[in-house]
Amino acid sequence: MSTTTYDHTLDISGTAPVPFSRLVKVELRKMADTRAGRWLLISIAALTALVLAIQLAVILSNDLEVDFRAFLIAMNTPMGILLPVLGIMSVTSEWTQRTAMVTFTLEPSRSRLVLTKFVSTMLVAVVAVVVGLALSVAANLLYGALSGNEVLWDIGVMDVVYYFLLHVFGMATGFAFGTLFLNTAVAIVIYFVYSFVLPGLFQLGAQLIDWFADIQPWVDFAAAQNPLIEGNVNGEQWAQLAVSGLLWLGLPLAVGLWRVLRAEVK
Amino acid sequence: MSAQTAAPPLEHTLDISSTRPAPFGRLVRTELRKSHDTRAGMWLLLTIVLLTLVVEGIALAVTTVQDEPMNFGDFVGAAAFVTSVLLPVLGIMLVTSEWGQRTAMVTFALEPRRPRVILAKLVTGLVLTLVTAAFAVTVGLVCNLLYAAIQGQSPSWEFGLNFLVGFLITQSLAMLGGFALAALFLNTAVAIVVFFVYKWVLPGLFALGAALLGWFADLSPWIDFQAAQVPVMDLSVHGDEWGHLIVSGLLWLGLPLAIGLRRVLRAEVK
Repeated sequence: MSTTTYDHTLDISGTAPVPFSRLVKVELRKMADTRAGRWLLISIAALTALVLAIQLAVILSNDLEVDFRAFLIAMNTPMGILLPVLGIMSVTSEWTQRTAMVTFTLEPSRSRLVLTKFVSTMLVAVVAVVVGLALSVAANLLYGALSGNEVLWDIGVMDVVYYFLLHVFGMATGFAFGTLFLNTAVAIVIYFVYSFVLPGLFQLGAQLIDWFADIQPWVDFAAAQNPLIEGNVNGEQWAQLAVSGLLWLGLPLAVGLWRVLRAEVK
Repeated sequence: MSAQTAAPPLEHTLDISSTRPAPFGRLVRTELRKSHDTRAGMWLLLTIVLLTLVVEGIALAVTTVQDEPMNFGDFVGAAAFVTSVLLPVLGIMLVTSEWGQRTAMVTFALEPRRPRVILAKLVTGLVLTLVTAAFAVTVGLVCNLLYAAIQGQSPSWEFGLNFLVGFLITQSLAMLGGFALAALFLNTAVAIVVFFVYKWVLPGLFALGAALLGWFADLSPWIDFQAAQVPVMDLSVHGDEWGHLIVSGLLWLGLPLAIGLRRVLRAEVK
């Protein structure tokens, strides 16, 4: 190391900032090219296919008559559990694996990065629903071919829209919990308690306490999403979806974003 | 580094032949400390305590307002509900945090006999389970006294020794279930997801399968570990139920633990 005078400055004024599409492409790649991310994606597809295959086998062996919606509901279960985990990990893995430092150095505008992550998780959710729908269509066709029964496609365009909404909500809720806690284990535990334990407690509370029975539909986001699965949402149910969604999705996301924008990167 | 100095002859060897190996008690004490002196561990333990208090408080408030009859066992049951969710997470984190946070290198360098380290972790998990159970019973006791005082009636202590022992066993099994999955996957996120799917999703699928398929209805008691644990709660296990408990326990506890231990004993520490 010799002492030299620094007469060269690094001029980056002519360098174009990183375009948004490139950020999205990078984030999408990050979700698939680590071991945890790749296995999660493979698990989602494999589990969905497995659930549909088991369902098909049970239906055929018992000579049950089903329609397309039955396959959609079955597909919904594994995706509903694992997509939010993907949403959580897309945020938290940066913090627990300490790659946030690199990410924020290469793109110091944190709000853009968070938006990028959000957009890319939503893209994955949409692709996952498309794959899920394709698998369900295949299951329904197989059912028709193997059982000889009439194949029923009793769903409309709105049902498909509802399914996309359902998984966009699930993914976004996972994302919100991830930003709120910035820790994989905590976010997953809280998310599962929210999705498996809380609905039971809400129902118990509604049965025991009268005033709680009145507010329960307005605070229970999981129950508010049920009309989406059934494919029939009326005006009041949209309002309940919006209010409970603000509580469980909007609020954690707002606090979480505030946290991500200000947190010290270690 | 450089080739100019030849490697010095090793005249001094590190003689540790008279150093005594780390006693097992010290290993357990170290593991116990590790379970609460990191932020994640401390918050997990605090969460168990706080959530138990909150749930008991809500249960007390609701039942006194509604004049629901409650006894000691009901209050302990409410606390057990909370601890049965979080104790397995504790069991998971005991194992996986070493691998996730990469401290396994230090741990196994200081005590190279891996089976002892794993055993120390297992003992730590059981000790913490006992402490948690004692805490849950104490909170249940206080709540029962409060309930009786508020309602103006004598407290009902319907909670026999059988229930207490059954409670300790099921809580320990819950913790061990988490521990086994953690050893199998050596990854916090995967172990937690799989555990919760096992705990909350699988019973529904088992029930559905048993309702639809005749042969599965015969098979399901032998592979449904959670259903098999129900008679353990009041120690009324008898006859076939022992068989169900052992077979399903081997499947969900023995098998993952065996594969997991093999994995921990042989895994490359990075």
